[in-house]
Amino acid sequence: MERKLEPKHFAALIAFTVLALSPIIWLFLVSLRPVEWLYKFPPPLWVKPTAEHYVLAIKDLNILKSIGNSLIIAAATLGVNFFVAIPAAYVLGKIRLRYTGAIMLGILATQMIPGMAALVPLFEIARYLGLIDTRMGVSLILAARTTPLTIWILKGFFEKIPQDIIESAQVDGLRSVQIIYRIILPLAWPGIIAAGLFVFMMSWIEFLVPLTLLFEPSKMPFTVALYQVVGDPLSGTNYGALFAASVLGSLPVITLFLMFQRYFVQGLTAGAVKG
Amino acid sequence: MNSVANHLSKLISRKYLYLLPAVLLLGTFAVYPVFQALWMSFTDMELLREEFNWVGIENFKRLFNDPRFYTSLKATLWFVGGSVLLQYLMGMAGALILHNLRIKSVKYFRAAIILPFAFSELVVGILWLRILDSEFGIANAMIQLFGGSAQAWLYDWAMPAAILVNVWWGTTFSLLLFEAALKSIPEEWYESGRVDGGGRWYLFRHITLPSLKYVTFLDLVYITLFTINTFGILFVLTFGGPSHQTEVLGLFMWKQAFRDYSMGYGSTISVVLFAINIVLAVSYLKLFGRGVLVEERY
Repeated sequence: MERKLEPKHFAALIAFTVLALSPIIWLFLVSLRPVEWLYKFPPPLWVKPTAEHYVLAIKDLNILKSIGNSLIIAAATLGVNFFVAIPAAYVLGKIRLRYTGAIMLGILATQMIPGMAALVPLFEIARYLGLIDTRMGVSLILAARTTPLTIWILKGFFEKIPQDIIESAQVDGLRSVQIIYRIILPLAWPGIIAAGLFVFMMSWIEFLVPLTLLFEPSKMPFTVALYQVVGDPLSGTNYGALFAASVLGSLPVITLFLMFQRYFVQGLTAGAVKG
Repeated sequence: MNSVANHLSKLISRKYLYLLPAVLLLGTFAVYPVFQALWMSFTDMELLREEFNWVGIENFKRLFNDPRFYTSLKATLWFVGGSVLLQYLMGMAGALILHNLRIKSVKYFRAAIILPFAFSELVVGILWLRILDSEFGIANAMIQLFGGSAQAWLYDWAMPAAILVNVWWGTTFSLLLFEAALKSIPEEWYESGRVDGGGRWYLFRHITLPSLKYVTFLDLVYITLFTINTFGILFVLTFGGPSHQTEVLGLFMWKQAFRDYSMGYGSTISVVLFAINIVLAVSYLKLFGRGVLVEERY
């Protein structure tokens, strides 16, 4: 359907973007600022930029290596999460079990204590399973933490898919696994992208679980690397380097989002509901 | 005997196999810690100490007689209430704007708007600590530029500032969730609504909102849980101050368990948080009806 572009709408979009982006632009400007300019008042909007913080982040903090670790951890988390959550959401949303309501509530209940409170027991479990100091251990814990959300999101999107599409696929002799991959997933793209992005971002910015589980510096994700090298961030050490590393750390997220966004925009428009 | 076996095989029919991976993963890494916390709340366990005693409900008695607990409860109420309400409203508004704008460049705007969530709570906290700094912060510089007077944001305005930062960071979640859901509403529904002569507000009330019921429930429950259970931003921004005004329960728990090493008492706070979360989730469920758990089929 065509809508004409209304100025009011566009103004609202600009307002939203400015609100979201201006602190990040400030972070970026500060990351380009020499140390001696960090504590000036009033803070100048523009200072001749320097790459010193980026050089420090890349050379001394070895931030690119730890961004690589973050990518491994986030990708593995997402893989485990989807592997576990997609079939569960399918039976809960489309096939239905006798206790669907109770199961959904139970799944939600696992999210109800602070992640911090679970750290000590999680460490014990990881030790028992031989997962200490492994990135896989971090990913499994983060996958367990994010799976309930994915199940809840996908169940809602799967439910929306008309039952007759699935029934006619069953008549055509498709097995459940084929139905999931050929019919359900392509029709639930916005939900899958949203859920996937949440899982990715949540594992991307996670700090406590890897800090607790990992010891080997070469395995650390960039959130931990930041903390370790910058030192106690509250004592006002070099936050220019911290910001520079954060800018670098956000680039993969932006890139991935721009790459996958076209699937997000693809709604239930693929001809699913016409018949 | 045979009927029992029959019943069992029916119960463990193949469809339950699809749940098995989730049960294994959550059972190992998510269920056990909840029970562990429950168990620890009845002990005087300390971090870095081997021996401990069973103390029954002593920790709970201590908690309910601790004035700091009530201060913390109040802070939690404000922080969570404010954050959830604003994130819901901003998320919904943003989703409607992004969904309805059919211009090519909207994807860059969307990428920009969701960006705050790509930064960890630690970095978000430090960034805003700098922005709101009463001496060196850009916020005060801007205000003075326009003739206002400088404020001690993290002192006199600690709670509103904390809520604002949290909303800035967390709205991404509601926004993307709502936009994804908006994209799954069949266009035909709107067309038939328009045929009936409905205006824009009518369509929103009678088609959009009802279609978003499930996702609205999901969004509210989740942002409530997230906001109650995480405190990274507050940790950096105010550390609970001034005088415990922004010491939400999660932060209170952290201070007891990890700073003062009282794991037992800290676990008690987690268990109380767990109970509060259940009460809240059930209230939302009452509000939205059982249909969000198992969709009615017509």
